[in-house]
Amino acid sequence: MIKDLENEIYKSRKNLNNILVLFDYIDLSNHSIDEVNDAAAALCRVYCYLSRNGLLKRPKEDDSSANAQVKNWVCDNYINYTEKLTEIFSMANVEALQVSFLTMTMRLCKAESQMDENGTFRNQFYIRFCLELLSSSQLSDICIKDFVTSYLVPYDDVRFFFYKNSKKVISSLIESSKTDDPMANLDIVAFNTIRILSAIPSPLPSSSTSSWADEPSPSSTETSSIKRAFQESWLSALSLPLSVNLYKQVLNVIHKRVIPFLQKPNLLMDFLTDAYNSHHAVSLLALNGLFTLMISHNLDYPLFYPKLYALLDRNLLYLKTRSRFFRLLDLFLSSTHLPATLIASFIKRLARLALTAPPGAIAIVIPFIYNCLQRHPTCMQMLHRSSAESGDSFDFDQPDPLLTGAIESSLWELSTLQNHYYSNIASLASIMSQKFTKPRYELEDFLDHGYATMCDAELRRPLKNEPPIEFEKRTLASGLEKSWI
Amino acid sequence: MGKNGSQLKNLKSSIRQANLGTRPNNKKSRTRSTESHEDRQAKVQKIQSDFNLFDRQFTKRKFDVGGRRVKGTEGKPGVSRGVGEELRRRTIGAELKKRNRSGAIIDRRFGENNPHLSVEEKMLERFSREQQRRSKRELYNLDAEDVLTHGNRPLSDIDSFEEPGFGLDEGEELNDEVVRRMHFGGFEDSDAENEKEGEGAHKSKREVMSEIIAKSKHYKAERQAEKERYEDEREKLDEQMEDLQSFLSDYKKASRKSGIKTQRPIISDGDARYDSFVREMVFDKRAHPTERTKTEEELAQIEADRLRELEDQRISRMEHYQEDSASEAGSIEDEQATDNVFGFGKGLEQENEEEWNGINEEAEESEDEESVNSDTSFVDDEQLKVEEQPLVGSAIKNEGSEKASLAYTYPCPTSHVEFVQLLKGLDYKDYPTVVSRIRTLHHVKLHPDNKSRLENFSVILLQHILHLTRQPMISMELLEHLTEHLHSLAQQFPSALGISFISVVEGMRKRLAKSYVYPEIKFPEISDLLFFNLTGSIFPTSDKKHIVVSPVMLTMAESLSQSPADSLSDVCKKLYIANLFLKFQSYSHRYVPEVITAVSQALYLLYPNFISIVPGTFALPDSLKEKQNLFAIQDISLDEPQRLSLYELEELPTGLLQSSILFITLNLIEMAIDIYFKEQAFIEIFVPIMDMLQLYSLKKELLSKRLSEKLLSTLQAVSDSIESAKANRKPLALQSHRPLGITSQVPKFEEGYSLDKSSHDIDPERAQLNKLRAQHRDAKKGAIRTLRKDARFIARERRQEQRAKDQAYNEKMRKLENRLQHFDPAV
Repeated sequence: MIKDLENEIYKSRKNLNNILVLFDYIDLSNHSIDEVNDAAAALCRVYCYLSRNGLLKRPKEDDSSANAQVKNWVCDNYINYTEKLTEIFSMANVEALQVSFLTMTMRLCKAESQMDENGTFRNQFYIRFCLELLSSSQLSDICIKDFVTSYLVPYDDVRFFFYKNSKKVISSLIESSKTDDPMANLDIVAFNTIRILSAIPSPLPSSSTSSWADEPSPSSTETSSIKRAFQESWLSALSLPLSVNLYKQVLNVIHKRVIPFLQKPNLLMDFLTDAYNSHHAVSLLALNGLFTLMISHNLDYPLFYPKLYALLDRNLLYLKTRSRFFRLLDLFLSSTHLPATLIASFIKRLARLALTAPPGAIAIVIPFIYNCLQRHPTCMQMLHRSSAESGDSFDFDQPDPLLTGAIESSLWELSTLQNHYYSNIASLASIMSQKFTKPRYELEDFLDHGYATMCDAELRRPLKNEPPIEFEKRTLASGLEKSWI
Repeated sequence: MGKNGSQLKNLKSSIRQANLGTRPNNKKSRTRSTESHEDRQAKVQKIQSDFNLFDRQFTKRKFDVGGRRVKGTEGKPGVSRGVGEELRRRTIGAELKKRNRSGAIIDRRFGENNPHLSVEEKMLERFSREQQRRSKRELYNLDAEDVLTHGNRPLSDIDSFEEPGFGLDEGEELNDEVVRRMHFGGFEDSDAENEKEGEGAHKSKREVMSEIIAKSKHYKAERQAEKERYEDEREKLDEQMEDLQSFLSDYKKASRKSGIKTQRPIISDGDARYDSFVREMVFDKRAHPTERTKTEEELAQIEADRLRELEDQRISRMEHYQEDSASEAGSIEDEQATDNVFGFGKGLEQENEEEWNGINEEAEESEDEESVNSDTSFVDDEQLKVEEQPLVGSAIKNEGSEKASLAYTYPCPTSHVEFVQLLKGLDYKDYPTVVSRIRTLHHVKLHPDNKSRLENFSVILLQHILHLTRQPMISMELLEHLTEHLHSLAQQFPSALGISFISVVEGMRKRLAKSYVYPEIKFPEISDLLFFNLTGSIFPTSDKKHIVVSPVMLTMAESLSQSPADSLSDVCKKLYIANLFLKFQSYSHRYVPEVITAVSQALYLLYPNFISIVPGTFALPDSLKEKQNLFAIQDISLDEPQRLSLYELEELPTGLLQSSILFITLNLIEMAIDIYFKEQAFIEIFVPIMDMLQLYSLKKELLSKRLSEKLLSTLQAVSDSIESAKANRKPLALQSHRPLGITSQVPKFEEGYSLDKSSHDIDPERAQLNKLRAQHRDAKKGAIRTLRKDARFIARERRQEQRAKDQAYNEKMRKLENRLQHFDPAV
C-alpha cells in the first residue's frame, strides 16, 4: 500500500497529494512501528527525488505562478515532515526507530546540501535535529553510538557543525531555562551532550575522513576553526550543571581528548579547580587534567600539593582506585626539584596510613617510599638519625605539607611493618634496613596485589616437606577465656 | 775537505803529501819507489774516498748526550754496495753461468795442468796422496790387529808362502792317527791327550767307577763336616737359650714371690686366668640390662632436652624460613609422635574409664554388677592386646537402658559417611571414646595396613569435626577432645592432614568470593571461625612462613577487613577473628594491621554520639558510617557484660550484646598492648585508641558499673604504656651499615721506570710476545730487501750478456758485409 502510493508520486505530479496520505502513517498511536518506518522511509525517498527535480527550492515571493504555489506547498509539507521526524528522539522504547530516523535525517541533510549552489553543508535542518537530540530525555545509547561511529567520526563537516550547533543549542537552552524548571532540562542536556562529546576520539580530520556533502566546507578543514568550535562546544557543556557521574566521565577523558585540542586550555582551570575542590572521587580524577595544565600550559595553582596531601585520607588505601592514584602520585612527586619537606610529609603520612592498611596497599606504599627516598637523599634522615633526641615533631593534622615537621621525625611505622604477619610484606619492608643500591623499584610490579592474589600464591605452593606440627598442647579455648565461652 | 781552492790543486797537494808522485829524473824518488804495491793502492783509495763525500753517511742525532756511546752512527753505503755486488757475483753469477750448459768431465788429478812438474814428480805425488787417503781407513787396516792366523805369525811377517815347514812332512802317509791328530784335533788338546796316554792308554770301567766312588766319598765327607759345624753352633745357641730361659724364670719367681716351679705349674696358672676371664664375661652379660634403667631425674632431663630442641626449632622457624631442615624436623617429630601416641592413648583410656565409671554410678543399683563385669571384660581385652592375639569382644548392652551402649571394637572407617554410621545412636559425649578405641585397635604396629587406615582416619576425623561445627549446638569440650585426637594423628601423618587443611581453605575462599557477590551467602560462619581456631591448635602459628597457616591467616585477615558487618553478630564474629590473631601472635608478636582496624571500628560503631573528627587512620567507609546509627549505644543503662558463645549471638538482646562487645574490645586492647609494646610505632598505633577510650570515658554513665571500671582500667593501661613508650622512644637507625669506600683517583706510578727500556708493559709475557713480533717483522723486511737486490743483480747480468752477444753478432755481420762489398762479380 505504502509502496504503491510512493510509486504513483514518481509517475506524475498530479499524485503529489499522496504525500499527505503517507504523512498520516507517521503516527505511532494509530499504526505499527513497521508501517511508520516504511512511510517515513518512503517520504524520505520522495523528498530526495523532489529535491533533485528542484521542487524543494522555495521560489521568490513575487512569483505567483501555479508552479510556485506547488513548490510552496511542497516546502511547507517538508518542514512538517522534518518536525515529525525529529520528534521520534523524544519518544520512549523506540531505539530501533530512532536509529532508522537518524539515517533518514542525515540523508535529507545531504539532499539539502545538494540544492546549494556551492554544494557545501547546509545547517538549517541539522541544527533543529541537534536541538532535539540534546534535549531528548529518551535518547538511547544505541542511537548515540550509531551517530558517533557513522557520522561524527568519518565526516568532518558533520562533526564541525555539530560542535557549532551544540554551542548554540546549549546557550539558547540556558537562556530559556531561566523561566522554566532549570534543573531537569539542563541535567538532561548535560547528560546527552557529554555522552556524545566524550565518544568522539579526536576533533581534527584524519586521512580517512571526508565530507558528508558533495563539497567540503571551508571552515571544517581548517585546524583553527575546528579547535575554536571544539573549545566553545566543550566550554558550553561544562557550564551546565553536572552530576557526580558526569564529572567522573568527563575527568576520565579530559586529559587525553580535550586538553590537547583546546586553543586556550587555561579556560578549563576554573572547571578543574572546582572539580578538584568537590567530592573526593571527583577530585581524584581531576588530578590528571590539572597536572597536565600545570606542566604544559603554565597553570599556576599553588594549592595543588596541599590538595594532593589532603587526598591521603584514611580510606585511600582501601579504594579500588588506589592503583590509579598511586600511578598519578608517582608522576606528581617524580620531580627532584620539589622541596624535601614536602616529600617528607607525603612519606610520613603514607607510612602512617600503612599501619592500618591491607597487605596489598602496604605492598604499594613501601616501594613508593623507597623511590621517594632515592630521589631525595635529604629525607634519608627519617630512616637513620644518629642524634639522641626523642619526641615526635610530626603534626598529622596540619593541612600544609610544608609545615608538618615530618622531616625531623622518624619512620617508625616502617620499622613496625618489618614485623608484619605476612612474611612477604615483612621481607619487602626489610629493604629499608638494607643499603639503597637499587636505583628504583618499578611501581607497576606492585600495584595489582590483594588478598586473593596473595592467598592463591600461598595455596599454589607445592608441599615439598611435611608441614611442622605444634608440639605443645594448645587448646581451642586458650587465649579466649576472658571473652568467649 | 774544507780547504779553499780548486779540486785539482787539492788533489795535487794530497798526492804530494802521500809521496805518490812519479819523477824518474829525481834520485830520491827512485829510492822510494821500492814501496809495496798494496800500500800505494791503499793510499790511492783513501785519497779517492776523501774526495767523494757521498760515500760516507752519518746518523743524525737530535740531542748529544754526554758519555753515551752509540754504535752504527757512520756508514759507508758505497763500500757496502760493492761488497754485496762481489758476493752476488761469486754466488749467483756463477750459477747463472752454469745455466743451459751440459756437463763435462773435469780432470782433477794432482798437477795435471801444471807445466812445471814432470811426469815422475806427478806420479810420485799422486802415489803419496793415495797412501795418505788409505791410511785414514783404520777400520779395514789388517796390519793394526794382532790376530795370529797363520802359524802363530802375523800376515805381515810372511813374505812368501813357499817356505817349508808348513804342512805335512814328506814321506809320511795318512793313517787313522794322523787324521785324528792333524785334521780333527787342536794342538793343545793333543798335548793333553798325550799326557793322559802316559798314564794309561784307555780307562777301564773299574777305574771310572772308582773315580766316581772317590768323588762321592769326598762330597760325603764335606757334608759331614758341615753338619758337625752346624750342630756345634746349635748347641751353643741352645746353651744361650737355656741361660735366657733361666733368666726369665728368675724374673717370674721374683714377680710372683714364690719358690722354684717347673713348667707345668705355669700352664696351670694360664688356665686359671682363662677361667677368671670367662667368669667375668658371664658377669658382664648379667650386668648389661642394668644400664637401660634410668632414674626419674634422667628421664626428666631427656624430656627437657627434647622440649628445648623443639623450642629451638620453633624459634628458628619463627625467625627464618628454613625449608632445607624441614625434613630433619619432620623425621624427629615422627619419632616423637610414636612416643606420644603411646602415652597419649593410655592417658585417654584412663580418663574415659573414669568417666565411664562415673556415668554408671548414677545408674540403678541393679546395673552395678553388670558394670563390674564390663570392667573385667575390658581388662581381658587389654591382656589380649598385650599378647598380640586377634581381639575377640562382644558388645555388652544394658538391658534396662534405652540408649545404645558403647562397643569395645570398631572397624576403621574408610569414609566420613561410614564414620557417621558408626556414631549413629550414640551421645556426643561418647564420640572421643569411639575415636580412642579406633586408634587403639588399629595402632600402626599391630598391622601393616593400619598406617594407611589411620592416615585416612585422620582426614575423616577432620571432616567430622567440621561437620560437628555446623551443628546448631555443640559443646566446646567435645571439640577439645576430638582436637586432641586430631593433634596426635597430625603428628603421625602431617602431610595428609596438611593437604586436607589446604583443601578446606580453598573451598572456604571460594565461598568468601561468592559472599561478595551474593548477599545471601554468609561468611564467616561459626564453622569457619572454629576451623581457624583448629588450625592454630594443630599447626604452629609462630612460623614466619607455613604452608597451612599462612593461607589461613590471609583468609582470616581478608574476612576481618572485607566482610560486611550488617549486624552486631557480624561484629562479634570479626572480634572473634581478631582474638584468634592475637592468640596466634602470642609467641612471635607479629603486627596484624587488620586487628587494630577491627578494634577501632568496633569502638566507633558503639559510640553513643556522632563523632565529627574520628581519631586515627583506620578505614571508615560510608557503609560503616551509616551503620553507626544502628549499632550505637542508646541512652539507657546497659546490662552487665558476660562471656559470649558463638551459637547464642542471634538470641541475645541488643543491650547485652553491645556491652559484651565493648567488654571484648577492651580485652583485645589489653592483649594487643602486651603483644605490641615493643613495636617502634606503638605510639602511632595506640594513640587513636586512647583518644577513642577517652571519648567513651565522657559517656561512662551510660555503661554498667563493671564495664565502666573495665573501661577506666584499660584506659589507664593504654595511657601508661604510651607514656612509657614515649620516654623510651629514640630516632630510627635502620641504615647501620659499614661505610662504603670512596673510589680512589690517585694516578698509578710505575716502579723501575727507565728511559732505556724499550717496553713499559707490566705483563712480561706480552712484552716478550711483542718483541718476537717485532723481530719477525724486521727479519721479513730484510729478506724482502735481499730478494729485491738479487733480482736487480740478475737483471743487470742478463742485460750485459745480451749486450755482448749483440755486439759480437753485429761485428760478425759487419765483417761479412765488408767482405761482400769487396767481392767484384765482374772480375
